[in-house]
Amino acid sequence: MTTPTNPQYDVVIVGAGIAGALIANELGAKGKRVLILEAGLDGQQSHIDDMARFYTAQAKVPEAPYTPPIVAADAQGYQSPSDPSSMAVGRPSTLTLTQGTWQDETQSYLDQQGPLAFSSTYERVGGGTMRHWLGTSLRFVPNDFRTKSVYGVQEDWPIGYPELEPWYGAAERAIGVSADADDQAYLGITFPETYRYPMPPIPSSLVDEAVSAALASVPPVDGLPLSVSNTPAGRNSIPYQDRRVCAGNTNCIPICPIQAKYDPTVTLGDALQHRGVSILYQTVASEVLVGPDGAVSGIAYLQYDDPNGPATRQGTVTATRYVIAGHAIETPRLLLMSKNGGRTPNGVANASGHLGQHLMDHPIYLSWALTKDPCYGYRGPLSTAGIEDLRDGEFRKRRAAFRIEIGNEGWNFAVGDPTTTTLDFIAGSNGSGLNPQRQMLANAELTQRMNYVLTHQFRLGFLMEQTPDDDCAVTLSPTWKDRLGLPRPRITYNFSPYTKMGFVAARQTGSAIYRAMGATEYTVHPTKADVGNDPTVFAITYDAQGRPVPEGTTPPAGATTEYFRFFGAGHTVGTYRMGTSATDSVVDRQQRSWDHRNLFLVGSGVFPTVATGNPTLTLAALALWASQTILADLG
Amino acid sequence: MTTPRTGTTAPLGYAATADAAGDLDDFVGLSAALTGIDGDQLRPALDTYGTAQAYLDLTRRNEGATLQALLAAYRSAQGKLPPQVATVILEQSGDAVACLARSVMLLWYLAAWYDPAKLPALRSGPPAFVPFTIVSGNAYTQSWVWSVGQTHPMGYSEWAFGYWHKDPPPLTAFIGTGGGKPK
Amino acid sequence: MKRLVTIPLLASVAALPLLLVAARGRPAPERAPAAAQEAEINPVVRDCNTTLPPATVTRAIATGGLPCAVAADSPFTLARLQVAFDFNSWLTFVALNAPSSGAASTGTAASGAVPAADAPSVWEGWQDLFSLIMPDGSPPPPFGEAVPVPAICRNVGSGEVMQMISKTPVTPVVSVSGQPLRSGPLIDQNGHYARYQILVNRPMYDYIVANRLYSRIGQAHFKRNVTFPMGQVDSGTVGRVGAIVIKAAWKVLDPKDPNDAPSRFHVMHARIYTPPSEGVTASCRPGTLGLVGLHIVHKTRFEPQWNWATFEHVDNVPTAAETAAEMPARHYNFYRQGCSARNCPPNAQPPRPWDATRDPFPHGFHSQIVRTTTYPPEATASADTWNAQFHAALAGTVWTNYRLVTTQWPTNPTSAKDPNGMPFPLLAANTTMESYVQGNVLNASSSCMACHGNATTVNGRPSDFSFILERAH
Repeated sequence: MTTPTNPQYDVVIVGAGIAGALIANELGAKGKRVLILEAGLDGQQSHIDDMARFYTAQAKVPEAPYTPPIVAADAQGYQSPSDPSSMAVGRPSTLTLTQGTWQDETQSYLDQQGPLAFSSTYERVGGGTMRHWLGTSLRFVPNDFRTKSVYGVQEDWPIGYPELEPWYGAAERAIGVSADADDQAYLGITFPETYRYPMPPIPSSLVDEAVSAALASVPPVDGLPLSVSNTPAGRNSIPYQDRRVCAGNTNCIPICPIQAKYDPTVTLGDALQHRGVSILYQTVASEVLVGPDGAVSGIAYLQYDDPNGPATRQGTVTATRYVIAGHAIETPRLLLMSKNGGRTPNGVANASGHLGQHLMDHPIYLSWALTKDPCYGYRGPLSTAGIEDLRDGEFRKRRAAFRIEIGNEGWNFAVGDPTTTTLDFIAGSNGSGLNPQRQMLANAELTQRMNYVLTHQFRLGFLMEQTPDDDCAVTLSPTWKDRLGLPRPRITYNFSPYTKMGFVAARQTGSAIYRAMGATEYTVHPTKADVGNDPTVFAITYDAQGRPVPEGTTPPAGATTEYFRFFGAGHTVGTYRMGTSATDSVVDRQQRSWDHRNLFLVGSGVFPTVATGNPTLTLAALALWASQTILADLG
Repeated sequence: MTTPRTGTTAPLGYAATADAAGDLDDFVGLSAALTGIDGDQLRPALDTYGTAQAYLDLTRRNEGATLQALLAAYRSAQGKLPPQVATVILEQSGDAVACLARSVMLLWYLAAWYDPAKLPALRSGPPAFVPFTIVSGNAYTQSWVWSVGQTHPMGYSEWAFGYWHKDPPPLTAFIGTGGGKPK
Repeated sequence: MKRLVTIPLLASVAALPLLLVAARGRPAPERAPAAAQEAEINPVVRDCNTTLPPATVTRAIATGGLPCAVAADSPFTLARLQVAFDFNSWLTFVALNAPSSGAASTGTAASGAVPAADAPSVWEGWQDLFSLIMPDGSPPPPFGEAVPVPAICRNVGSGEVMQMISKTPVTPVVSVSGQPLRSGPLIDQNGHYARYQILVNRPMYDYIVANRLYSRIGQAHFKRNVTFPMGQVDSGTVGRVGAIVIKAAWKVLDPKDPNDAPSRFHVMHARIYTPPSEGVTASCRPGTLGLVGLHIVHKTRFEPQWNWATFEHVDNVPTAAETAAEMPARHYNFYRQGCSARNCPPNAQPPRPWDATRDPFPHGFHSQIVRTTTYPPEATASADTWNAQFHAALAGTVWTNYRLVTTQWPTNPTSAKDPNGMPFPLLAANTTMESYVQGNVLNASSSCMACHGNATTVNGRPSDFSFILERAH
């Protein structure tokens, strides 16, 4: 269907990701007429093509399987990013985070102004970015919602854990989360007396057990002892929603071949089973229209036939309520673009000036090692457990908290293995750091060496709680456009000293864990020469008391400077945050725009802080909460 | 039982080309000696994938002349044990044969074709990206580096829920006793 | 690799008394000691068909009865083994489609003749899924008996109650409503939903009942590995049949459509029922259905990953190659010639909502199905040969309207690397039952064994390639 059949809907939702799908399903179940506008293609029908694309991708990055394809092979055989100005629905890629690409208009979809590269990506396709989430479904800890009150840092949320708790349970049921509540009641997280997760926990991996065995001999960090904790996951441990159980394809990111991992096309399918719910694909919302009374009066959209072609049709839809669920960069982009002929020069829903501000991620500090005994990586889901003990504590007054994700995929994330090490020992390179002698092996020597390294590789990822800062924002590029003629997002991005000091603690923690395991650390850290030559590298200087030294000042005697490389976690949040007043937030505690009563903004953009857990479960819980509010509005 | 031929099965996306008698057998033999994986694993008695034929055809298509030299080098190593066969090919038959041999090893390990001419730079130079072409999606699912790691390709598991909680089968279950059989 | 029994070609087919099991009126058996249980669950039969693949299939060979195991002789190449498996599949197809009246519910007996007039098949008397897995976890009725028909169907015609609109059933009746059908319904050219059945034979039924696997509680208490009974030949023609599962796809024959002539189909008169679910009221109406697809899955001792045979009506769909070339005008059950890819996107799931009470499917939609899974030459040559041979041998019967697509079987059942036993062909799909997941990409496109290898009980333990057990309540 290419044109809406009803001129007036109860609700129009922009974006068919997790938030949009959940809300559409809740409203559809109550008989409401809902239209979803999705910029990308139908993600449900394309699974086989997606897998084929993944298998033959040179760089198996998160966006590799999905449409529209954003890489093309050049004459030299490199699969390099296509020009975003030629694409109707361009999106960022992890392949454009190098010095030579991150600010190149013909390569990078985002107009990155720095000083650091925003390193997370998202999809514009039916099912959204969660098509390639890992599955991690953690609840936030209670103090995540009140770091300002408790520690004097960041912001407080206008809501707290207790009122979100029932929605967490609803979200866990909608997604299908596997865990045991007894394992998850730490750092103040509570459950109702008889609460049971929908499915039993995913079994731990041999890597988890190798780490766990060693943790008893790791000294407490900032007074907190470490332990391995099973990670709740949106991944089937029993048949659920007519989907199969996990077969350990070790491929959650970017794509589960058998859909044992939940993705929002499941809920989208449910939503579309309700008679009143319909969807338009290849339909890009281009302006949120505001009427003379100040209420939202419609959504204008463009449609395209060819993902590398121009707009072919345009239209407008109207509804009683509007929901923007386009994720944390495209949502502010749409609202900022909406000028209404000059009547909303700063965009829609932006009287506060905070729209697009406080862009955050969980920047990842990655470290990796070879274990003493085989830990048999590359097996099972990408991660089945983590160390959650350092997500909260007194130290939050001074430096960022983090959770530690234990990786089951060897050095795949760290060095691009097993490809890199294979090339090393066959062709004599040393991309992995394991072949300093530049040996070239064959026959049993090769299989023995490869077997040894592959069965001993593992990595830890430290997901840092980045602070909400004024120098991290989404605006509109004045000159870069996509194929539809719409301005691409412009990004500024940096880390506060508070965030950077979290990396310092992470590095020390990682090394301590490897020491206790008898593992040999192989983490490669950048050097001073990399700063300014690699947009994913930063420096931090701190004094002998561990306090950060402000940039541009002379470090005192006994100061240390460290250099770090960071990765994006895919957790884009904060750009239309919720709050208690219309002057310092974009939406209220119910995710309703302060400026337009009939407009809701949902998704991770509402987070005032990125907190210490992966955002999906919390944003899903909030989306279900918003559904209830919208239903009450509709009567 | 004599080793059956697989005929023209081409599930990896390459149609078979006619080859001189014995070329396929010898290609499997040299592949086993180089990779350290048993010939019976690379080409099982009932070869459902036809990988060996597909890789032979691909190699012939890309480097036909050097392939003949590679086969000749293998044949000249008659009677030697597999590690010595590998040495003959990689160290005593000239650079072109050695580079092609390494491309063949990369084919088996990664289901990816690397231009042999681009490999020497990896030995001497700094880390660099060498372009490669994955033979096909189905070939990727049969790439061997994962078996050498006692696991499965990322994105292709035939195992049951919870397998990761237990030790994997031993390496010999994946690659055999390794190294191929004496010629 | 010698794993199949070499049997000399029998000179004649012995006419043996049928092995009848008094099934009706017997309560579900109590748990019995293992050996006695085995004998009871998978009893010895004396008339296994052990014929090796012949040069020419005669009527007598075609109707020689049900094989208990696959017969093949050396040399064991892929091509020759595929020939043996496909021959076995055709023999099985004919034996199980022998008329049920008078035949044993086991189906082993050589019928000797196939009547020119169509009649209900042996397998239609087997236990249907809805008479096996009860919504409240209670024991099923005895083998051969069905649950009472839904109230809405009581005064509607007669015959089977057909409610599945996808080969993955809606979680039956009393459970949480609104579970959509992930595989997608198949809509014929008259806008009618295709209907599906899953049935199990007596040994499979007995194993499930004896071990109480029909309920969640029963599965939770079952501590061994699920191992369905296996077919095997012990000596001569004495052996055991083992477990067989049937999946059938039926098309509603529209009286207004001359292409739906009953004479071209194996036919069933049934009650077409749509259960109530969210926002949809139940419906039941009589109808005549034509068989368009049949999966026959047989577990044998030498193929513990089962043998997977699939048959289709000859008029179902064109291949992808055929649609790319000039096509002679002809009728297809699930493909309309001349409809552009834009208006009739090939192999696209119908638009939601899927609501079988809205018949015909709104806005004139009909599924446009193309056979996109391609098979290796060993498999196509074998299927083509046996289809021609059996059609000639069965001339004058309705069974000349059915063809074997392929048989998928494990080439290396004891492979440590591949618990699915290295299947061949790599991929397989029936265009009526895996319509929207056909293709040629491993792990994503349809492969019987790769998908069923993921099957588990309700609590996630391996269920020996059967998705039936996860349906339990």
